[in-house]
Amino acid sequence: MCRSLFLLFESIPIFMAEVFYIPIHALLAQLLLGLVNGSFYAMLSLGLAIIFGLLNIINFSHGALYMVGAFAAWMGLQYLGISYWLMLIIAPVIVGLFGILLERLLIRHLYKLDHLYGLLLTFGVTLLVEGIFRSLYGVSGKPYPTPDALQGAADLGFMYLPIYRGWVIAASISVCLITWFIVEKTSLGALLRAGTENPKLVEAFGVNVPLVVSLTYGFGVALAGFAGVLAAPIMQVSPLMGSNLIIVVFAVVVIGGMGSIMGSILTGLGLGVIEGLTKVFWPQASNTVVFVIMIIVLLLRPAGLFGKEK
Amino acid sequence: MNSKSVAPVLAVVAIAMLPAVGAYPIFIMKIMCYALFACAFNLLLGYAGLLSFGHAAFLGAAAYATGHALAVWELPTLAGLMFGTCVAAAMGLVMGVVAIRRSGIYFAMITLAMAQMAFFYFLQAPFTHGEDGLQGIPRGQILGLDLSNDLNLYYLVMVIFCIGYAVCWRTINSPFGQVLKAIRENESRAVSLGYEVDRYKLLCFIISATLAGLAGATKSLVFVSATLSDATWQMSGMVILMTLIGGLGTFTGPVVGAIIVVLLENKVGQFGRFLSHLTGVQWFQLLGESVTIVIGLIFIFCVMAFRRGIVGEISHRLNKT
Amino acid sequence: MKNSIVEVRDLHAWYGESHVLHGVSFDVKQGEVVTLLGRNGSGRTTTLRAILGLTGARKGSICIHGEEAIKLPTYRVARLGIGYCPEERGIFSALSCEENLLLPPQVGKSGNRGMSLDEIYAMFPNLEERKYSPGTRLSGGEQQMLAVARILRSGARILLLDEISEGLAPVIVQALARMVITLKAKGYTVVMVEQNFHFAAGLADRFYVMEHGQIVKEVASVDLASHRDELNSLLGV
Repeated sequence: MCRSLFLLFESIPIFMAEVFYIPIHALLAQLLLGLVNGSFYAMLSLGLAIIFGLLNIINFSHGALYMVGAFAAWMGLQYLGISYWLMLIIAPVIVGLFGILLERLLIRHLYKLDHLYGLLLTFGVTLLVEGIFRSLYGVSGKPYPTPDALQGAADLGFMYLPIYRGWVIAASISVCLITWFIVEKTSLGALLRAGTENPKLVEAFGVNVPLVVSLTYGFGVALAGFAGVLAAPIMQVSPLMGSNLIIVVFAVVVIGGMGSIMGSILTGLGLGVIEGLTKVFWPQASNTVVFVIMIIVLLLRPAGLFGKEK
Repeated sequence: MNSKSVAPVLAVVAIAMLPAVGAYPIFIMKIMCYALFACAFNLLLGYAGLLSFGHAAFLGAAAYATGHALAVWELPTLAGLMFGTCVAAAMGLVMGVVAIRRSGIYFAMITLAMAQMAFFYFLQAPFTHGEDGLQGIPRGQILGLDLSNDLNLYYLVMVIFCIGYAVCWRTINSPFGQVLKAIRENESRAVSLGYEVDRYKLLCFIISATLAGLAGATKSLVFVSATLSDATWQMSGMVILMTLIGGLGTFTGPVVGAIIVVLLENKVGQFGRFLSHLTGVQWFQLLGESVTIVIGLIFIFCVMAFRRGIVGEISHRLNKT
Repeated sequence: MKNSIVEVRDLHAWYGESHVLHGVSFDVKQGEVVTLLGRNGSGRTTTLRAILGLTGARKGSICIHGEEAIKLPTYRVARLGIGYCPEERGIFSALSCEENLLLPPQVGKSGNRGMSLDEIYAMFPNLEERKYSPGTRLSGGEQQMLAVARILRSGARILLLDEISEGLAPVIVQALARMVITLKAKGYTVVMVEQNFHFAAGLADRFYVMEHGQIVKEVASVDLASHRDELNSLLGV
């Protein structure tokens, strides 16, 4: 399945370029941008899937916390002169701690209820967080400088690769793969996988499952915060940057199904690339192509591409 | 006449008399439109158990459709209203067919995504005039009454509101409504009893979309405009809030919720200034300026501690005694 | 004189609004094997779950090694040295056989290390053969072995075994019986819930019969024969 998907991704753009007479470097540039967007989709849908697996809650505030990560980086630089590299570590920690606080104080009390209440609560948190940042900073975006070491572009012959964008893709994919490794191959991950299936039994073995749940939520949102720091130099840091993104990520998650980590990563990357290609051939549709794909997948395979009916 | 039919008659009379006691017609009409919108949403969530996070799409689509029909095609008012409502119904059919394939949380996410798709379409389509929206929609006239007179429009809106609520009531208190209730309480049981559960859900979704469309079409008459804000996810969130505050699954809850939310939108600035003068805490002024923060806090409060909503809480207390 | 390491007094338990246990009281002494008998729905499984806090609200007293456990969260109760083998076995499909085995942390009291992986594989050789298979790909008997093996590895010395013989071939049931006898010889304390009277008869020191969420009879192993008729009518065997 993975192999044929990859071949498809490689051959379509070349075919399209031949037929539509689009210069190859314009195409590759869009492909790159698509990969960048796809990296964000992958990281955010990964966090959402991990949280949903263990807590059975869709974390609407994922987008807002991604924004908080970006703002933390901006505020760190603006007020305290803390560099981008330090913020790459500090911002996710801040966001993660905030997430743990949120889980302990609020979300934890909703586990016995219908899962929709979790969605509504995190929706309320989104409004609150975005409202606070909006009243503090308005709606216009704040620019964030690209760190010196990552400025400029590399000449690869067939295209120019902006170094920062290459870094974003590499960093995101690395973080995703590390997460995949931890969850699928380590004993900590085994705890998480077991907890997703039967948390009460895992607790009956003596594992402090409530703590694991809090930490997992913290980790999931820390991933979003990390994505926010990565996004700061390329997207305008604005209080609204999270909300439109999260809705697309929801569609990504429905398309991929939340059954597998690798599935979420591949779906996110793939959809980013498809969106990028759509921008080249049919720009007006680029906003909605992910949603259209979601509709098609729902009609043909409701559980999602990699999903298991829960 | 028994006691059950007295209450609605009294309510209608009371609404009819409101302008006479000095209430602003536009203000009450706004409440009626939102109340109808919330009632439509409540039908889907409170009675069928389906959380739609994209109901604003129907509100906005109908508003744009009616606005366009009245302003550009110059259709008569009633025809314009019906056109808007039908557009919403058609959207409800299309969205419903796709969304019903999943349930619960996935259903909510799918409706959100599809509504966002609609939003992007409205953003780009030429006939909506994008960020400016449709302005100066002619209200036209009905039965010889000129509707640009707010008071005349008031009574039309009141009639529409009553019709909408009557449809809602009839849907809930019918064999169809009973099956919906059964599906909400124990879906697999309903399936095992032989009901085509998906068909019922879809029909409920379409009715809900149609009523929401009716609210949107009426709203475009009241404000003589249709803008993008009618179709945003924030608006979808608002209708959820109205229903939650008022009381999920209660009949009058949506009205109460609509009143509170409209009051909130208009008065939160004043309230914030009042609080900050009273306590000398500057921060309340900031709070007042941000409706979003207040709404977020209320959402959180309602989900954590006030899930029954006002009407739900009252009837719970009354049932206890 | 052996003292009681599990003392349950007037235990009530609810599942939501349903009042399921109506004042259960019993003792288990160090190294004993005790069986809870009764018809379906009598509350035997619920009693085990209530000890661990896996039911809804609870009232009463549960003393493990003299420590009051009724107010403790589930993971703290387990850490008092209790190993639980649920009725549905609870093998995780997303984990391999070995991952399932290694999942429970060490809960042994006062330096009690659980069996090492080698010792476990010596006792259950087919688990070693299948160690990389996904847990639920194992046969019913192997899954039951796995469910017990993993709590042996955790250092728990008080074992709560729920219907371990259920649905298994006679050959496997015999193997399980031999295992329980071995554990008893090693000094483990076992509380078993069993539907299969004959399986339990050869293993337990004492029997409690439950009905409608209460204990209605206690029979020592030595008195089994004389109480056979009474037991037959109570259990509908």
